[in-house]
Amino acid sequence: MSFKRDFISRLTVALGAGLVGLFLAWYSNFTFMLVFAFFASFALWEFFNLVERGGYRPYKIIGYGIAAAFFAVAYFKPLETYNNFMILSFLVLFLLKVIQSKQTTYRKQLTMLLIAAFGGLYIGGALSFAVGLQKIHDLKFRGITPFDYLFLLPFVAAWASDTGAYLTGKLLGKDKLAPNISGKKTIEGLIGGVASSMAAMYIFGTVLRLPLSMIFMLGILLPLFCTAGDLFESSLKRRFDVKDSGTLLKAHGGVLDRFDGVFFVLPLTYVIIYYFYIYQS
Amino acid sequence: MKRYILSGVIGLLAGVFFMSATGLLIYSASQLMKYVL
Repeated sequence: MSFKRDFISRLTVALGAGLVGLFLAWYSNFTFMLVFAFFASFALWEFFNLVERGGYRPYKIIGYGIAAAFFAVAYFKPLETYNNFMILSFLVLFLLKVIQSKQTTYRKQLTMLLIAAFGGLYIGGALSFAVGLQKIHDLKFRGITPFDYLFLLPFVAAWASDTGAYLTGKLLGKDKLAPNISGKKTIEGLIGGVASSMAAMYIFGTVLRLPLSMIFMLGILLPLFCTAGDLFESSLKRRFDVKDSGTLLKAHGGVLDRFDGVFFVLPLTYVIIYYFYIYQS
Repeated sequence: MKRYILSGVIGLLAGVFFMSATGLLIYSASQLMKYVL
């Protein structure tokens, strides 16, 4: 596909998906949660497909159940309960990994359980942070900023980073960033992505009237985490020997491909904003 | 080194352009939704 056609196709899909998302987010908090839950279930479906192509048969129903639990807790319970639930899930997953590495009798079953639980946490857990962010927005931001979309912050950061990295990588890319994980990523692309995301964060943060220290923190950390998320997903694909995770979003690839950076950026944005606006107040 | 600096500059410009376009789009969409809903 040519550069121009590829770029226009990417832009059209991003604009279309963005508008639908914005409409539902604006409509009510419940539809907002449903949109993210739908995206999470689709991404999880792609993740399980990817894993199955690698020869594994995870207990998918457990993965979907865990993802649904994250959304339910994020939507129905207070933020403190949600935070505790998230920490507990990490601990349980870690414990499961330890048991799986020691256990020999039920190793196969434990591996399948571990993959399902990991999928639920990596995708469902990460996307449920958007619901948490929306809650913080309702508590602290509604009516204060002229722009009622706090949850867009991590998406804008991730997509600005992707766009900047894509453009600079195409124009100037030469030195490979991580040839063992992803052959396409370049150091020039990384620098362009970080710069692009920083500029976008500065503008968006100023419009949202966030403190300068927080904008600075978000501007530096989000693009780095976005690249880490990209590389992590690439390493997953390489691990299972797959090129694209899906084709739902045309030139973007699958949902997993498009949201790979977001899975890392959303939790970080939540933690930073929670710390500044809830924990410190 | 020169290429890296140039990447940074292009990245910054891309970010400003991206955010302006996205911001305009979000603002227009929110105005439209205020009108529709």
